[in-house]
Amino acid sequence: MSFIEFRSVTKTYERRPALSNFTLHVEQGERLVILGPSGCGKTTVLRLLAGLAVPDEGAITVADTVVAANGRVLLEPEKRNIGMVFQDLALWPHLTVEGNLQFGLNARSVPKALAEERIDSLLRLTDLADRRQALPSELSGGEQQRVALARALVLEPLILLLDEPLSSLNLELSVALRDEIRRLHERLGFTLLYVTHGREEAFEIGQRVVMMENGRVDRIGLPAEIRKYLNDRLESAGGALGGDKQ
Amino acid sequence: MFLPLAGLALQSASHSAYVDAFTRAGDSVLRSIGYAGAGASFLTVLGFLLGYLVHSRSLRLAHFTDGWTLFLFAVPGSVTGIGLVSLWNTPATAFIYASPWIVLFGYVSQYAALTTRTTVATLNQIPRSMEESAQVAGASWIRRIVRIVVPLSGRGLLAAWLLAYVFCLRDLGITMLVYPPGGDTLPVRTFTLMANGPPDLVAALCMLMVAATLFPLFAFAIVVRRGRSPSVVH
Repeated sequence: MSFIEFRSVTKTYERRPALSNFTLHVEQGERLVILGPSGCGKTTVLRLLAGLAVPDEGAITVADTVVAANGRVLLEPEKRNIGMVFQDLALWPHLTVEGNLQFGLNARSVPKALAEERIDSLLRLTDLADRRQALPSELSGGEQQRVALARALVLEPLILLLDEPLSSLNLELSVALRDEIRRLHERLGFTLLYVTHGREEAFEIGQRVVMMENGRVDRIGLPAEIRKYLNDRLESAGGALGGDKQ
Repeated sequence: MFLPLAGLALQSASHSAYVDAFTRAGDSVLRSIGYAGAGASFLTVLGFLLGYLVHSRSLRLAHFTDGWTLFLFAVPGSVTGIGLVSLWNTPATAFIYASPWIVLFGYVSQYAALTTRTTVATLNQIPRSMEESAQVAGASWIRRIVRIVVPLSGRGLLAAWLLAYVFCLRDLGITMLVYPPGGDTLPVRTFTLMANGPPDLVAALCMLMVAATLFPLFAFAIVVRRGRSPSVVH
């Protein structure tokens, strides 16, 4: 049995299907990227796994525990030990960098000394030690992104969900943060589900890539396999277009 | 709009009028501020909870309650007052009926829509991900509300409190009908004295009413000007 399993999951928002009979298996410690166009259901996968949405049909299992099934949440989001970086980052603007990291630790009753240790370690790891007392509005885009990442990781989650975390950054910063995410993953060993619509980003970060279309898995494979599949598809589409012209 | 106030200011422009006003209605002024402050505080808490339920679509009942509060707001205060009298004026509930609580009940039933709608409008400005990220971080509902949602709604809640305060302070319809013995408010006292009191005294009472209304509004403006406003980061 895989560490994370989506079994025939269907999710509909106001009669519009977001996921249809969606099945996916993710192994522990894996770096899996979900790639697809806007509206294909990528974010829904993360929200279902985090417990922020409920599957209409099907079941979701994490570490042999069914966390949600057939319209019911069986394990509350606050008890799933999942870290999530939202697309808009969702940094709490009234809390400092330290406050943002401390919040979850307090919520989970982590002893103060241990909490301090973890915060120090994560701030060093993400190169934010000197920004500890800054408010999110005082940080650059890259720093905000790193705070969001540190906030999720300070809780030592089993699973980290990243929802297009680099979409608002320039290319240079985006490349630097991709490296940082890979480095953190190798060091901390969490299972990573990373959602993006950027192909290069997906191929660089993912150990496996899932392509989604219209709420379904279109193809799963190694980055090189997906790259080839996409190139072939592009070529055949070009050929068809060329044929039409003739 | 300005002329009636100017007329009252001119009419009350004597030291003796204000001395007389404080002597004959000082207790009513304090009671008005106390009732309005307490009413606004209850209404803000209730409005926040109802507004949160409406905003988060947590309960179907919340939408019904939302509609009901709007209906109660539309009902004339005198009707609400008579309803309260018929409900609470019994020997078993006299301890409520003969206390300031009955006035507060009246304010809460009439004006809950104000704070509920203000809260919904405020919560609509806060990205849902703010609370969701706290939930994923392991925070209970109470912790999310106290540490994340309320601080981010600060100005909106303050505005809701002020709105409720102003409406409670000026209320006549309900208060006139339900105020406990010896517990009238400034609008009620002014209305009573208008029938046979000296005009300069009534004008001075009206000016006190204006001052009691404006004071928290100015305080709010100062707080907003001085306060550091954390903006939501995207």
